[in-house]
Amino acid sequence: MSHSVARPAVSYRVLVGLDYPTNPHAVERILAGEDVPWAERGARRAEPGDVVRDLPAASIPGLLAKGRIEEVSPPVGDGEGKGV
Amino acid sequence: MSIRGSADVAFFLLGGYDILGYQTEISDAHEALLEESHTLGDAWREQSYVGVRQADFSQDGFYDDAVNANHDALSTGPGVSRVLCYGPAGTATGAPFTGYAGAMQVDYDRIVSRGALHKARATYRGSGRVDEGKILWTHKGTNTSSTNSGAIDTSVSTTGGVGYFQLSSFTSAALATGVLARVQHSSDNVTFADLISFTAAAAAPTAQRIETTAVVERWLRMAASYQGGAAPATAVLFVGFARY
Repeated sequence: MSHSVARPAVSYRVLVGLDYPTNPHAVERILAGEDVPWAERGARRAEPGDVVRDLPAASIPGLLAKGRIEEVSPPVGDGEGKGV
Repeated sequence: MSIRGSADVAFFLLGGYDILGYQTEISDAHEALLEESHTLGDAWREQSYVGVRQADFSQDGFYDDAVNANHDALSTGPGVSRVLCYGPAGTATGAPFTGYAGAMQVDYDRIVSRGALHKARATYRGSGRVDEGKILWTHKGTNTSSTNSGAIDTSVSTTGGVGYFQLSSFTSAALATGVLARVQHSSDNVTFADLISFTAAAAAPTAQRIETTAVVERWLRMAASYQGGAAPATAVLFVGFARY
């Protein structure tokens, strides 16, 4: 089973504080069941209200469904996002 | 489950006081309140549970009047309800702990005997819930700008839960104003969302207990960060969570 780890093309406003990895290879390994050390994850913190573009793609559907992020339309430019 | 012994007791925290090292015995007794429900014509007594449980806790150990030791913790306690946590089965992330929402201290006895070390004893009545939870961060130190525990994998809870936080020591560094601990959860073990944020604490001993009614996802972890300044402020803390 393969997982999507691609960087999302749209921006999202964070509604609940989030911690997430920005290293796509680390995400792949986590989803494969590996216990990846935090130092290798490229961990990032986003506070409520932050607009980000580097959320792990695999997490986005669940975060949207649970109301923890919302899509920002139109997407913000590179200067506003927390790009990888 | 394994047979456990005294060496497995990981911590005993009362309102942030770290007093495990003074104890020789603790007792945690839970009781169901019953009412006799037999009626005329019954040949044997019957008992019915009235839906209320009671918890009683006691501790026996050595008297020690060092700062933040047994005497400090117990001497001001009678009549005061504090958050109590202890871990009977090791320090591992995910190991069990017991948390009292309120341990109402009933008494404090100092026993002074000829030819013996002084002893200290206290008893408590549970005031509110007693929770059986999992350790997210066993009672130990952190001294970096941010610290995360490993994640524990459990089942989703749709009825919420409760987080426990105990801070037994905080040493401020330049500009540091406190340590902020969070319980976070995740449905995929990749992205973790805040579930409970404890109030940032800058003085020890102190303890907090916060309930949530939110759906609790499968993976749980603790995240702590220092507020207002640079590392290395140091803190010794415990964080645990019990699902409802």
